[in-house]
Parts: sequence; structure tokens; C-alpha cells
Amino acid sequence: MCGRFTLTLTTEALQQTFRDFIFPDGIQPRYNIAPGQPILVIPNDGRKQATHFLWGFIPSWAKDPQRYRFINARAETAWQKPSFRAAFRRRRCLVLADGFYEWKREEGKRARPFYFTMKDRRPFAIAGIWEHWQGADGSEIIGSALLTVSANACVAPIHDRMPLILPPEAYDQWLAPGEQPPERLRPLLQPYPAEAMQCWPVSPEVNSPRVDAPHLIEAVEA
Amino acid sequence: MTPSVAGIVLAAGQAKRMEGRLKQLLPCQGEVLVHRAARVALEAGLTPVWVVVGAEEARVRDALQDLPVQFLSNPHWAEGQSTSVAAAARQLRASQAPAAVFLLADQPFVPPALIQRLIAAWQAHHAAIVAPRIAGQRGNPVLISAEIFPLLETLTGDRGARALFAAHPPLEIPWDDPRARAEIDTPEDYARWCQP
Repeated sequence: MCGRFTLTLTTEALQQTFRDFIFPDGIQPRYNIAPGQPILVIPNDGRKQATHFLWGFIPSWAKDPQRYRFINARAETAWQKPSFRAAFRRRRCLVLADGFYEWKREEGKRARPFYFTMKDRRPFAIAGIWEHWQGADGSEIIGSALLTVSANACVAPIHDRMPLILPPEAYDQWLAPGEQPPERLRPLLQPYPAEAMQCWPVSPEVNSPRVDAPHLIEAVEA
Repeated sequence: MTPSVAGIVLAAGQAKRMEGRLKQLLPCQGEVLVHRAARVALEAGLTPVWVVVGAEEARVRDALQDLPVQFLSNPHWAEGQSTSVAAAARQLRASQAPAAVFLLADQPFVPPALIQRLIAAWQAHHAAIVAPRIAGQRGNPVLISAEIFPLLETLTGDRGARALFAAHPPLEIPWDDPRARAEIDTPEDYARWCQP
């Protein structure tokens, strides 16, 4: 499960890191991206242009977009699950981030949040899938889910799952437009190397999606 | 102390159907429309109140000189109201407002009590969006909680607003008096609602 992440960069900084992609102006730093909010993505439409999707994958058959909203899809099974398999083959995206939160749950204690980033603090891309949902009144939502994999050695002490972070050399394949057979994509579904990552405990203020401020990612006493 | 709910008065546009007159500055029962909207926001206790200005910005600012409101310029006002909403959302996020009530300058008969009902419902139910159901129809003003501000920043056009409500259905507060919904959109509306 990955339920919150960050993208604390502006358009200029993103453009410097992801030179192959084109970013809209005016991107503001985000310290607490929560389900139901916009996420910055590169869809596999061949244009390599960043846009915003809603975080929450709504299957096209859902009548009520409230009831069916998946924020994550397990990478091991997404390619065969009825809700996700068409999107896995045809509608993939990169979800841009520079950190994510996971909660350590211990019996009898309140879950404690930890913040994970790359040791070099560079932004990265999480594998996502997306779906176009259309309501009876003509409203349209493009919703997206983050794929998750088993935790690597960095994340495992806190939580047993983590987002599927793709290395830059995998971007082209994940973003290939049109239909891709799942067998070709499955080699990409690996936990990111633990050695490249770091984490620290942070304030439980991140629990509220209404709080979105730089102090959320600062380390607190364990 | 918890920070208070902010007010946003959307007053940047230029109405096409008002025969070339700036709607925000039309007098309505002794007070120009934008002044009335801003005053109602203040009377309801919204703090701070931001007025988003664009078309004929200087005149609109002038009309509000006597009120303790702040201004937000939207140079992109001609591209539609979503640009004003996005500019307001950026400001709200920067000032860490916990929620905001969005008022339209052309709905002069929204009572302060209606705004206070929206705030009370938001406090009691932690809803992401609270809207009045005025005489059976969803209306304005709408209260938006802080977790929705990032979404407002990415909205474009009218379809964007519908997607917003589909993704985050508002908690609706019933309100009986249909005057709260009155909108000054045409010269006929103006004659009906504003002229003695």
C-alpha cells in the first residue's frame, strides 16, 4: 500500500531532471499528495507530456465513482485482474514523485509515519495504470492507480509493500504507446534497489490530507 | 487556535450578456454587486476574504476601498473562471487556509447565515466539499476543504468542475429561500432582482 507521497519540486527542477518530458508551467511543491488529489503523470500516449490525473483508478464499468476507487494495484496480479488487466496492457503511466510515506503498525500503538526518499534526493517515477471514466452527466475523470511490489530491505522494517519505482532505463518500455503483452512488461515489476534509498520517522501531522507543508518531511525523534 | 475559513469572491470576469456593462459594478438595491458579495463574506466571518480581480481591475478594487478585503490579480481571467479558481487555490494553499468558501459576485442574495451553515457542516462532518441545496437545486456558494485545493489548481473549463463534483460529491445543506440562488446573468435578471 502506498497512500501518500510527495513531489516537492517546481516545473524548472522537474524539467532539469526529466529532460525527455515536457512539463506544464506553474507546478507547485507538494508535501502530502493524498488519494482523490491530482497527481503529475506521463501517460503512454507517445507525447511525453506531463499532465494531471486523479489519484484513484475508477473502472470504466463503475456507476458510482465513489464506491470503486483503487489507489494501488498489486504488480504481481494487476495484469490478470479483471479491473486492471486492460489498463495494464494499454494505459500505463509514470507517476512522478520524490518521496513517499509508509506507516509502521505495531500492536497496541498508533501507526507511525516514515518518509522514504532516494539517498541522492532525486525525483523518481512510480509505475501507474490509468482509466477513463465517464459519468451519466458527461463528467469525465481520468483516474490512476500506483502499482505496488513487495518491500525491499529498506522499506520492509516499516511496511511489507512499496510503490513500484521504475529505473530510468525502463521508462521507454513502460511508456510504449498502445497494447503491450504482459509478458514483456513483467520483468520490470521489481522492487527498487534498497541501497539507493533512505528513510526517517516524520510527524503524524501527515495523517491529515489537509496539511501540505515543508515540515511534514522533516525527521522527528524516533 | 485553528485558522479560520477563508472567503474567495470571484470577480475577475467580464459578462457577455450584460450589454457591455461590467456586472460586478452594477448597483443592486443601493450597493454594487461585488461590494455586496464581499460584505456578505465578511459578515459571515470568513477571514481573510480574497477578491479575485481581472477585467477592469482598478475599478473593481476602487469599489471595495472601504472593506477589509485582499486582492488577487488574475491576468488570465479572459480564459475562463477556472483560471480565477486556480489562482485562488494557489493563494489558499500558500497561506495554509483549512478551507474556503467560494462566492460569485453575481449572486447578491446569499445570506451570511447560509455561509455559516456551510462552515458548521464542514466542521461537524469533515466533508471535502459542502454546497447548499437551495429550494431543491445544488447551488452556490461552495465550501472547499484544503485537501481539494490542489485539485482546483488543475481544473480547466466547465467540464473540470463537473469532474470535481463527480470525484468528490458535495455534502449538501438544504436551504429553503430560493432568493439565495438568484443570479444576475442578463439584463432581465437585473431588472427583476436589482431595480426597485
